[in-house]
Amino acid sequence: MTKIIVKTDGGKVRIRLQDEVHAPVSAVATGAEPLNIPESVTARKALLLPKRLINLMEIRAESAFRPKEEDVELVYALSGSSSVVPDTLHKLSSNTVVEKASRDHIVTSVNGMIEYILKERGDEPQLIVMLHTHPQSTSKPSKQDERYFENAAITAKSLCPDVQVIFGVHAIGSEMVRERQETIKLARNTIRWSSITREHEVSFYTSGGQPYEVEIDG
Amino acid sequence: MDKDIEKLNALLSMDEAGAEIIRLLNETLVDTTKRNMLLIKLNEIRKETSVLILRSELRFTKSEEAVKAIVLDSRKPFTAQEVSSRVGDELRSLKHTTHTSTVLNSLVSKGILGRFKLGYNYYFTSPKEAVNEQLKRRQEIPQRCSPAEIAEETGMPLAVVLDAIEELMT
Repeated sequence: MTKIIVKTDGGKVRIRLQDEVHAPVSAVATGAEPLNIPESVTARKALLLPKRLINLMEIRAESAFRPKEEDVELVYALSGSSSVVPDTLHKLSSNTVVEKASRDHIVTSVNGMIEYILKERGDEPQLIVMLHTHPQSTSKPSKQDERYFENAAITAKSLCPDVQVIFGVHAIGSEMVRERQETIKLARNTIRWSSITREHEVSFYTSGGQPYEVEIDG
Repeated sequence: MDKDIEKLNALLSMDEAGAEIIRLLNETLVDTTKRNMLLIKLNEIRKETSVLILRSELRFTKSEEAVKAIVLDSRKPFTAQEVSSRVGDELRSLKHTTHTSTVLNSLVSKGILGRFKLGYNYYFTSPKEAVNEQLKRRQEIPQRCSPAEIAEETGMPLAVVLDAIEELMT
């Protein structure tokens, strides 16, 4: 028995899980399972990442690459109605969010990001994880990234005072056909996996640039 | 016919996209060309889904069995040439890449394998991985994508693409 429902909206196809709550059309919810957060996660204040969301992160990060074009950084965000479990991925590909992107630099509007997240969710989240990619590089933030974390957290908090803001750096390797490798926790704040074409490594940080623990759910 | 109309009415009333389906049908049925296209498409869908119902009962030739096992037992996608080089000596015809390619494409159209293009080569893998790769190329995500176009680009049946999207979402 199929678990998805297809709808069209002005010719565009929207797909959602049958048991998913009726979210706004633009929302990218990943399912509506009841939250079952392990005590170890809440006690340590770790981020609990569902595998389905990790798959969406892979699709989003790899969708930036075009043949014969320079790889550029991109941004996306995760949000959740719990302060430790994200449930939604926001693509943030609009030019009101991304002002300029190059191989090692991206200029974004945090106001635009928060506006999009609020619009897509339809409610104020308890958690926002702002991520940007590092094509063919590491998941370690640069000094510039750390300054961005601080300023972005201040802006986000001014718009959503109760939200927990975390940052992520998503490193992606170069394109080469390879074996898929399941997601593993590489370090306290880092996960790693391989799609059939690229290696992925994502590290999470606080607004002060300190490592933020992550756990894989599922 | 009255009973069929009653049944259709009940199905549309229960469907959350019922109003949208009715609007599209009305728009289509008033135009003879569109009405003809709809009838052809509906019959194509019936044909495609009847093949899928029988998918579990599909019989495979020795060549198909060998090729299917090589691709699905691996976590890495292969080109036809790579599959050809992995075949044992007992299936000599598969030592010819053109024959292997025909077998691979036949398995794709049956919804057993998936296919995507990278550079100048076509790679064969599971339907789920092929749909995942095509979503990336189209800059789409499972919740907002074009399943019919993905089916056309990958050569896989639409119902198999929808199954793969479901797998990616659950």
